[in-house]
Amino acid sequence: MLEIKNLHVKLEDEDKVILKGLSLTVPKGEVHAIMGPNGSGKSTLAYVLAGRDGYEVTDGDILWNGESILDMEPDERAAKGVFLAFQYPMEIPGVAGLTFLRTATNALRKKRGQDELTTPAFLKLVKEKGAELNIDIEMLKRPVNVGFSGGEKKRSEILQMALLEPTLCVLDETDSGLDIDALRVVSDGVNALRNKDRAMLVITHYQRLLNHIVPDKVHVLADGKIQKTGGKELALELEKSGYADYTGKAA
Amino acid sequence: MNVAVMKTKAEQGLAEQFEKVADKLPGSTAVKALRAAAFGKFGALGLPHRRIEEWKYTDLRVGIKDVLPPAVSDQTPVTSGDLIVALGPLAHIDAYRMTFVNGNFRQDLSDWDGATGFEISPFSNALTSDSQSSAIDPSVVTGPDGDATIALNTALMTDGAVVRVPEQASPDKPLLVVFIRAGRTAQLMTVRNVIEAGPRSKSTIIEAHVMLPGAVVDGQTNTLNEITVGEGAEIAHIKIAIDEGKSLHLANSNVALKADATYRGFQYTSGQAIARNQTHVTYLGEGGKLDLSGAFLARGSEHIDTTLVVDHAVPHCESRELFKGVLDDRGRGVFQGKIIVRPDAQKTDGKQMAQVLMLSPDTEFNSKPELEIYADDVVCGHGTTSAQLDDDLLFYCMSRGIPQAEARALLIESFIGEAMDKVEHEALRDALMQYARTWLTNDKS
Amino acid sequence: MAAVKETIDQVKEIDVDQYKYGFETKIESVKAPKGLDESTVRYISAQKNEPQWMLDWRLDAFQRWKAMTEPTWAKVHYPKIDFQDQYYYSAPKSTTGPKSLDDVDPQLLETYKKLGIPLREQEMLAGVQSSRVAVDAVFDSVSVVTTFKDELKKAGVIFCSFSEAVREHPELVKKYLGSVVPQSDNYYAALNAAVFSDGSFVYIPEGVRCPMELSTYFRINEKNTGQFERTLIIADRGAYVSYLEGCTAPMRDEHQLHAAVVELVALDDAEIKYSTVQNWYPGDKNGKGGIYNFVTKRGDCRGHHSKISWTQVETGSAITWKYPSCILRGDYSRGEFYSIAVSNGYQQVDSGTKMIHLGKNSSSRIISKGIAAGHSQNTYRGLVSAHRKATGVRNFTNCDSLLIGDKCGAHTVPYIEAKNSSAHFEHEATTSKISDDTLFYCRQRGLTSEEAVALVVNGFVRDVLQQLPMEFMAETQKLIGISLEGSVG
Repeated sequence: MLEIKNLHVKLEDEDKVILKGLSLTVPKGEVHAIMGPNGSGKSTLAYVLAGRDGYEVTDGDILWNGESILDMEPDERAAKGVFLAFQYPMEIPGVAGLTFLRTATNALRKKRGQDELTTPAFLKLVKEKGAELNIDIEMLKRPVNVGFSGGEKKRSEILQMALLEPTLCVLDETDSGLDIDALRVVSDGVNALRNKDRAMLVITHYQRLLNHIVPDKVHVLADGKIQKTGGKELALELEKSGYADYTGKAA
Repeated sequence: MNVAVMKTKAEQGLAEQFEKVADKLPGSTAVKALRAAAFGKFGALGLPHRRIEEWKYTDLRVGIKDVLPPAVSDQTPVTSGDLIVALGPLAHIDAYRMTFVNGNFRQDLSDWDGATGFEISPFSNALTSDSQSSAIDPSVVTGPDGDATIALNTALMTDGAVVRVPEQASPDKPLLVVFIRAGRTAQLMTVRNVIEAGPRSKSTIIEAHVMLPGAVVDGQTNTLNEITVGEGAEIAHIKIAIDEGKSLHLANSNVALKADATYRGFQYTSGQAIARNQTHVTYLGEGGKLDLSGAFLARGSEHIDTTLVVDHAVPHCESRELFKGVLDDRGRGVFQGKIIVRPDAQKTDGKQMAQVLMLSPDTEFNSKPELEIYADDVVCGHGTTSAQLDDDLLFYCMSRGIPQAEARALLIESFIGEAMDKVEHEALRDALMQYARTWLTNDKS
Repeated sequence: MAAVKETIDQVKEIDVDQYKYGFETKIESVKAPKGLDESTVRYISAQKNEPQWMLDWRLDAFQRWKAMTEPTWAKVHYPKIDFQDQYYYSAPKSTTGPKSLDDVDPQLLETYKKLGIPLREQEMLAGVQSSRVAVDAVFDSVSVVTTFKDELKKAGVIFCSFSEAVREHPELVKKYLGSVVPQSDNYYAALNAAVFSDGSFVYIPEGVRCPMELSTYFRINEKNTGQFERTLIIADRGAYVSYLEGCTAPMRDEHQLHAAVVELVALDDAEIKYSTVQNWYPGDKNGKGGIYNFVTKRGDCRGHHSKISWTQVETGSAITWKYPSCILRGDYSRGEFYSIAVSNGYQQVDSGTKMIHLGKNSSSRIISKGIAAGHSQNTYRGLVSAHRKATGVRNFTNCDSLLIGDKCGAHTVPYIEAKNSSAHFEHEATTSKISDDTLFYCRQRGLTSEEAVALVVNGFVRDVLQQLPMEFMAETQKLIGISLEGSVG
């Protein structure tokens, strides 16, 4: 279970407060959506969960399965099962996708006390996962994300998610820059990974994604706080009325 | 230490000439002392030659054979009609005007009546008034220490423009500073401009070195610009030097950029036996921007050298350089561009490109783009290319019915045009392109 | 990536002060007295029973050297070298050379093992016949063992120590020695010409494709012994050879001087591929100790359609001064330079290449990847020139630098000289750092920061890695990781 308690976050280098007492709980097996206007702190929440530098938590805590993860390095959090699907995945020139993934998979397996996979075993696993998710693994022979289209980058993120077997998946604006076909492939992939042991947090600006990934709960994030929580119908409501109510309230 | 160094004929000649004119050169006692010290320094340095790394490709010991008498208080008659002819396409630019003939300020050929946003005066005033009352200090030079051409400039400078743009001023027209070579006597002209753009001002200054048709062709020019761009200010500085194949043109521009200042420079150079444009840019505050471009065209046995040093001393600054060269006959081009990023200049963004078209087999292009980087969080890059006109493109144009000569001109124009597009003032950009077209049509090959 | 894992493991095992190869092998050696004068040159020549012409050549070089001064243009700083405080010759005592591998000092074999000389070469040194790599092992200054001579002999290939070549093939040595790097080429080349100890000699006859990769391992072993190797490789018409050179050196407190000379000659249609992995002691974390490496490497594409390719991986030495170059004399000849230079600690690297185009339609390609970390300074210095008569010349140059940390420097100093219009030159260079975002991305996927840096750097140098013979690739990835140890906080 993910528990975010009264989280206050500011930028490390400037006096800009972004999250102002955010609280949220996502039980295992559930998919929660976070919706909110630009600048509400959605991406900050994703980065703070994954442990990116540049943010300072001034108050509150984040517990994953009852354990605070705030003092953990990003790779330690990854070992605990935290996975962030990036809005803008990084390009790593010269490093083949397969090399990257094998390195990551084995680093995680080692940290989780599992045996490292041999190269043939790893390749077999990649092929299986690719087939399950209907994602062509050819792209993994190219350097990580280099020259990928928006859709390819997102598919590659989902494939990585499947391989690294996380228990907490944070999807940051996964729908941005996708056409309808790509959106379907990505959503199908995410749905295939839903299970009773996995918690998911889907961050999005638009309701569109939630037609494909149907959430158990929807939270409205504005001005650094959860302003409202509801069922999936809340997303439809927002689609109609926009965020004006919440941003107005915040001001 | 260097006393024993063998002097070339030109170096000896310069010493003789300096002795001859020292008393006639404008200036207070302090300025005379400054000149003597500067000439002493030049004496120790000598003319730059290929053993000095920065002058590897432009050897003035070999290049300067004869020393011309320095022009002092020259009174060669020039009419305003002459001026228009000399300016060519530039004459049509609507601008305030300050004119110098053979290095001597000419009020009768200048016109900045009603100029708002420019405070203009001749540099000779600053030299002759005593230092307390003078608005500027003629001893201030921010360029590379130990450069012989700068020392020579200080020793022999006669006049030039002093331009201030007051805080937040935004003059309605550009200022055109014209240096004309006139008359039948070959002379050495030494001038200095001091330009200060006040905080948050925005202005355009055109510096043109041209000759009167029929004037002596083998003149020599040594010019130096001291340019300070104040906080948040923006200045466009377009320097034009056009000659007829026999002259010597040594130019230094020292640019200091304060916080958030922008310097847009453009250098158009063609027709000198030897030309060297040496630009030294230093960032004094964060947020400074440099956008420096140029075009150089050399034919016959002309030699045009562009040397830049961009010194990123503070963080968060940006530099862009784009230079295009066209070489024909036995024309030689030199491009040396050095980007320095000092240890604390994080977040520096510096990019540089120099491209040359070589139109005839005997042309020569030497380039040395350099990066010297001591800070890690930077993005810097440079590139140079040299090649002939693309035969495929030429063929493509011709297959569409464009005759070869026109197709060539078209391709060369579009090549240079990329750099000229950096000039924001439209009429000025057109004038520059007009110069380039004239150069192309003078093609004897 | 297995190599990354290995790298990390190795990094954990050692720290900067415990240079992996920093051990001494205790073998008795014969030394010339310290210092350098004409008698030293005569002593060296006499020790090697050299003919008069060889001695005369050395003495001529020595006279020239005395009149020269050390070059100062490179971006490297070091205390003045006292050339009189060096030993100029040392050889293991058994200078007559072993008859078979059994005669080889077991400690020497042990040294190779500790050095991590690839298993195949070790097997071969132990006499296992299945390996296809020939090693002319240079221990300190004299070749003590040469293997695979028979098979090479069958192909007509001469692969022997330089001393042996002087004795057995004087006509070839006389013809080519100093024809690429003349005695007075530069200060260090002149010094080498006067006092060179030994090295390798390779001759591939007309039309022969050398049946195996030739390999030499250099070691610096004696205290205060300058190493002055001299290598000469000739590929006759239509011949091909691939040559590997790899180096490690024991840890020392005093700086050690190394001034090697390598000359390559490729005649018509011949090709020489020369690969180096240089991993000498770089000094400790405070910049103390380390090798001074002043090398002159030059290839002469003398014949038409000849090709010379240099690939280098430089991770070691306190000072590196090295510019493997090609003189593209033949029409349609080709020169290549692929380089990875990694510097950390207080290392100073000033390295690059020269591509001198004299032949028509000759072409060249330069790919240089510099990685600077710690307090190091890493400079690429290069020259590409097209002679007035060399029409149709092409060059492409790409120099990229990566900075890790804010105390190091990466510099690019290219000279590009086109003296005729048909030369088509393209040069591009970039400098950047590994972005925090990229590191975060890798760490989010479970890599530690050191694993992430090693991964990204190996990606950065991939274009060059691919040029290396397979044997060197894994070793190189390992080395890069080890070299960058401690570079991220």
